[in-house]
Amino acid sequence: ADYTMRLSHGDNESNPTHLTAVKFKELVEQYTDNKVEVQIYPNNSLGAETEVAQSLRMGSVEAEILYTGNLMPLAPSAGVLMLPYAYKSTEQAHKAMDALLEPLNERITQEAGVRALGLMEKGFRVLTTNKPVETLEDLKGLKIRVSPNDIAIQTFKSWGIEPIPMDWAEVFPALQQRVIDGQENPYTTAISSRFYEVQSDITEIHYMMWTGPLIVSERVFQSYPDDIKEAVVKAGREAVDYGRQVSAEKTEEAIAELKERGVNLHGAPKDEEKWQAAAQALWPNFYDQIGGAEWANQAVDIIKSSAN
Amino acid sequence: MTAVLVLLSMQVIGRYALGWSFAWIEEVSRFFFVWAVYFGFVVAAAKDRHIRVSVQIMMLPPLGQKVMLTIADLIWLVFNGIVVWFGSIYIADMFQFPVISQTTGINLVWVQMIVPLGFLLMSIRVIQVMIRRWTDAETTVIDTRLDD
Amino acid sequence: MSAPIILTLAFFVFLLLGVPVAVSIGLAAIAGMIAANIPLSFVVQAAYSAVNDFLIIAVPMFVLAGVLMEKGGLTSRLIAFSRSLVGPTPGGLATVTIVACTFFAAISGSGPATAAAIGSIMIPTMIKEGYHKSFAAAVTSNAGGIGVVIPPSIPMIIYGITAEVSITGLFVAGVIPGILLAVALTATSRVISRRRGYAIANPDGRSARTIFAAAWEARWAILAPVIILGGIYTGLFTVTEASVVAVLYALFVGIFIYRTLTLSNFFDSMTYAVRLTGVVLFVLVSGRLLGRVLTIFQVPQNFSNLMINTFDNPVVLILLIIALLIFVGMWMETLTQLIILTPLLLPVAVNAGIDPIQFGIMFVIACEIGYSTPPLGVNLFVASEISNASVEEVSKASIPLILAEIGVLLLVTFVPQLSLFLPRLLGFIY
Ligand code: NA
Ligand code: NA
Repeated sequence: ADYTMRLSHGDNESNPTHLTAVKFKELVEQYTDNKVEVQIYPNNSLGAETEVAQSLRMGSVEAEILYTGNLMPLAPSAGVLMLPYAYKSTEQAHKAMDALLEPLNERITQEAGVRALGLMEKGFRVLTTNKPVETLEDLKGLKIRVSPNDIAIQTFKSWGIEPIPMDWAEVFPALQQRVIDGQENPYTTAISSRFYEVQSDITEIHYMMWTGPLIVSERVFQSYPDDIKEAVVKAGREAVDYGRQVSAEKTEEAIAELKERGVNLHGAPKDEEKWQAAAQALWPNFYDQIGGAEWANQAVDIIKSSAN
Repeated sequence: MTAVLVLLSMQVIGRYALGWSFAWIEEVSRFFFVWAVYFGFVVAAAKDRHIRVSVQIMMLPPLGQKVMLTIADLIWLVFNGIVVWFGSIYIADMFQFPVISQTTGINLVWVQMIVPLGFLLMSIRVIQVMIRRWTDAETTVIDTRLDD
Repeated sequence: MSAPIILTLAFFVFLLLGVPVAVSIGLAAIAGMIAANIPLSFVVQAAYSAVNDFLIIAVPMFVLAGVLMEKGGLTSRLIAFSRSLVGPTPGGLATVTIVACTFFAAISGSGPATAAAIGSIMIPTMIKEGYHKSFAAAVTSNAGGIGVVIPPSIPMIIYGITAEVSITGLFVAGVIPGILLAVALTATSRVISRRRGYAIANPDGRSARTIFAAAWEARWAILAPVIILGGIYTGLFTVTEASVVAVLYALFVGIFIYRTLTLSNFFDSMTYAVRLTGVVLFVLVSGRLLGRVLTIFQVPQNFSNLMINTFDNPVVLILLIIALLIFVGMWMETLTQLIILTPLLLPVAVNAGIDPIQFGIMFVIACEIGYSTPPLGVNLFVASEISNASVEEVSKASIPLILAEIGVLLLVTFVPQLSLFLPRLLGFIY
């Protein structure tokens, strides 16, 4: 091969992230007649997600799939993907994310020296708890763990509770010992982390999707000849489409398995409008940390127009 | 390190006695800690306590020990030089492309700066130890004891 | 010559020249990076991210807590309490040493610190009562190692970070094996003492009254592990928070109860903890860098595939790993060993059916043995200095004790429940 592309991600080898990476490898190697060889490094073996994103900018690692929240420290503009209740459905989310890709790239190539080839998603985050949560009222008084991201923390605060940004490794024992009452992640996590053993109820709060871009180092990308650039872009887009499809299948499987294991699935909260109104009212507060009001408004317009 | 202790005491007491929680405390204490650790590197270098394999050196006569340790420390300085050089380039790059902490809004360049800075200070200490080794009358002693 | 070979050669040449271990590792990694055409800015990033870890803050905090508690006068009270517990049996003082080390282990995260704290009082006492100085030193050296098997434990923190397993889980898993080690050492030292006719420590025998009186006298020392470890196990604190609680507790006892702690005392202890952390984490930093470079060359994968394909019998594989751990532990400093070998051996162990937490405990016991084996055995050095016996003499006297410890290691290896029962019960593993 003329070029080697090292691709890092933080998940294990059965995760949709890895399957997306494998697809990307196959397609890149096929479209470039093996001129580019992709090497996959799963499980953060080249470093934590934010750190590797920094390596991409320096060119010491060439590609990565990472959680949007972990790209935000370098590329605040990517934060528009994390606005609470931005998307009503998966279809709308895909449309919006695809429409956002180009304007986003104009910004993040400047901010972080990385280029997104496509935006993965692994489904909406749902709330698992140890008692039924069907209304905003039910949520009060519960201790919920959130990922340490300001948008997630502020959103839960807008619902009237003080969330706990706990280290991921401690979540399972903390749930079991009732130090915390719940956590929020996609359906698939409830299976892969065996939360069904310690949680009885799941509510589709759907405030945020797990989104993650497939990014390449802009410095490395610009050093490729045009035919390779084209092949890489094409492979990236197709791999992400494939990854979304795999995620959807895994989510369906997870839901079926959770039902079978006796977890109560409540669907959306009965007073979903209240949850939405409280969280959406926060949007302007986030504009500063997601690349400024001008960009945020442009992105929000794109997201809204994809709703039709 | 005292700052880390104070901050984390606030977190523990705040959380358990008063029911508060501050996401920023964990992050800020981590940043202080990184600086404290690099000062630890420097202090340990000043006392020549960084771990070496020393059985083979102890078998040499005193002059041989001094020569060998001098060579070893010159190699150490080369390593530090590499870290300082590339660290400076890296830090310059971080001024251009900032990385902003999500909970505190701190530009991480102020934290990561300690890497080249710490290795620079450590080099000064290593040079001092090298000079002391040749000027002090007492024989070289390598303390392999690590109280870990 | 392939890059990994250059890397290995460079590493050993630097080590032989007396270059600090951390620097040797770092330079070997840099050689590998140049071979793999990776920009050297990667070095800086690893040097930062290895240290920027909330969990590592527990390392200096547990060191600080241990030092403060010793300065506060807890050690002598713990020894008095241990003495009251030991009945009228031969070699009673050796048993007292082991019991005291076991108690101290629940406060201290370090093997050499445990050996030094208890040994500085018990070795002179044993020698005065007619114990041979090499035996007194050997008992202390080996019992001191229990300090890292019973939580808190700095090697467990480093293993947990390197292997990415729950440190709390490891802490819980170490309790039973740590007690087993104490039992095995006690049994062995009793056999030796009986043969040599060493005196009975407690001629008046045990009585509930004296035990209670000594326990009351030592109550602040006994309460410490109850609060710290109890807090961790019930999920009340994370490991880092618990380490802070330990320091606060030590400060409280030192300032308000025993009134022995002064501001200059505190800053001395702090400087000591910072320096020690510097020594430990310098190795961790370059170990992280080397780990990344080895990953890029896919060394861990190739190594474990080679091991697994060569030895298809899991029992043989496991015994081989244990032999390797003990052998390397003779020569290498504990933390370096953990940082370098964990990524290589863990996949092999997992493939042979060992849980990562169980493997952590096995590894830490092997480290514990390594403290007392020549040529590089830190506890051996500590004990030989206190006892004035030569390292050779102490090593020789240690042989039966080390065999007993290897027995425990094998037991922990082949009876997974010994390490996994408690963490399973508390939900740290599925
Ligand atoms: Na301990
Ligand atoms: Na040893």
